[in-house]
Amino acid sequence: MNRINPIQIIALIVVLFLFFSFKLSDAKEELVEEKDSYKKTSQIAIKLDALKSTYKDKTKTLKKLNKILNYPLVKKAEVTKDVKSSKVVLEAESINKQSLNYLMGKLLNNTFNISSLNIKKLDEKTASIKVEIKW
Amino acid sequence: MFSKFDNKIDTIFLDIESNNFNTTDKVNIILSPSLYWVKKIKLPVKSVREVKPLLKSIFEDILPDGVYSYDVYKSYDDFFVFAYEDKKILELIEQKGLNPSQVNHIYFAQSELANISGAMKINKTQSIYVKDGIVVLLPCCWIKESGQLHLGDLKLSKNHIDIKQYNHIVDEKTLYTLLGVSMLFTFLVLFEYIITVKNVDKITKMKDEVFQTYSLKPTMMQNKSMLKQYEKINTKQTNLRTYIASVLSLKLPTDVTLTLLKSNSKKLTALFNGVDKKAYSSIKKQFKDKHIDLSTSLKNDTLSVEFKL
Repeated sequence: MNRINPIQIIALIVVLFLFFSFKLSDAKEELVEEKDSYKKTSQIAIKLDALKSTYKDKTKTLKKLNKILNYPLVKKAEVTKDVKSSKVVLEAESINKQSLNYLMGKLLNNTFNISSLNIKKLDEKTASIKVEIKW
Repeated sequence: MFSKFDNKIDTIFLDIESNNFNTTDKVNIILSPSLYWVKKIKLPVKSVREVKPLLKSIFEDILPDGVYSYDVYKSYDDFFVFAYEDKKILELIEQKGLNPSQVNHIYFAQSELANISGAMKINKTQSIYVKDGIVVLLPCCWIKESGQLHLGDLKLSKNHIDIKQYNHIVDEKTLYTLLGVSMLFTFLVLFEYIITVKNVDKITKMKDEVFQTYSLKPTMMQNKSMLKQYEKINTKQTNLRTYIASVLSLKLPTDVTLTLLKSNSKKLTALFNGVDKKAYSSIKKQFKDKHIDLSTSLKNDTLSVEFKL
């Protein structure tokens, strides 16, 4: 007698086929989710990295600031720089128009995180300035 | 018709006229000539393997309608070819009180009883007899029997057959084709499953690498919250620059001067001195044209403009 029944083997294979089909369907769903998650994670990581290096980098911020403050027009205005743990304060009690224009132009055109700003006109040619930059 | 073959397995002779077999032990079955068709032929081939493809054509036009299986064995120069109906044999086995799972091997009377001398009685009405090398079934009265058939003394050959239980529903070829196709599909699905799982692992590893490369926080919730915080800073800084640019680009009347520009984390304030109603309207209009959201207040001749960052 045929001990192994081919129909039973076919039934077993069909069951296996269905089992793996369900597993495959689950795995494909997982793959789509994982791809989506990877894409989102990459996008967040790139944005976060760019914003961090723009606003959170102390060394980079100070380097750029020093370059601006060392410009002769600004140096002449005697702008003080007070570096603290999470911020730097630039202050000049009296700064002339040209120096102020140059300084503000540079500060605003760079990606500094200006947390507070105070420019007060003293007379037609001078003003006082206090700028706080955070990182 | 039931006798001991050896210590373990009994041998029985199966015929339509056989009595019921009351046993639950394993048995070997010898098929009566009434349950198969046999031909003794000489063919210009040497091996049984070469004869097998010809079996169906050998019995063509001889067999009544039915689903047949075929078998062959060689004895000296002759080939003994057989045709039998699996379903008919299977039904008879069950009809005679046996379970198909009890059956060890099934043999043809031709292969096992070709050496008997004279006629042997197999039941009350029938005998078997060998004529020209072929085992035939005869009614008892046609020939004088030399005795009763004793299967206990018989040494069985290797020429046994397999009964296919579903041969009458689907032929063997179709069955194996189905089996092959279903296996192929199952393997394809299994293969695709393995590939997909590997891809999932690969992407998971790539994601981990992103976490390491960009020194991200362990959870996405923390990272999203950080990103939101930085985006808020970025928006404020962009707004600050836009509003300062809009203040500095104002066309102010001759007597009006900008005296103060002040900002904190929430707002930017600009103070203008020497502002009369006409100048106030002009300044307001210029901001309106730039679609900038602001609040203004005029006290004496001092105009305060506030921008929300």
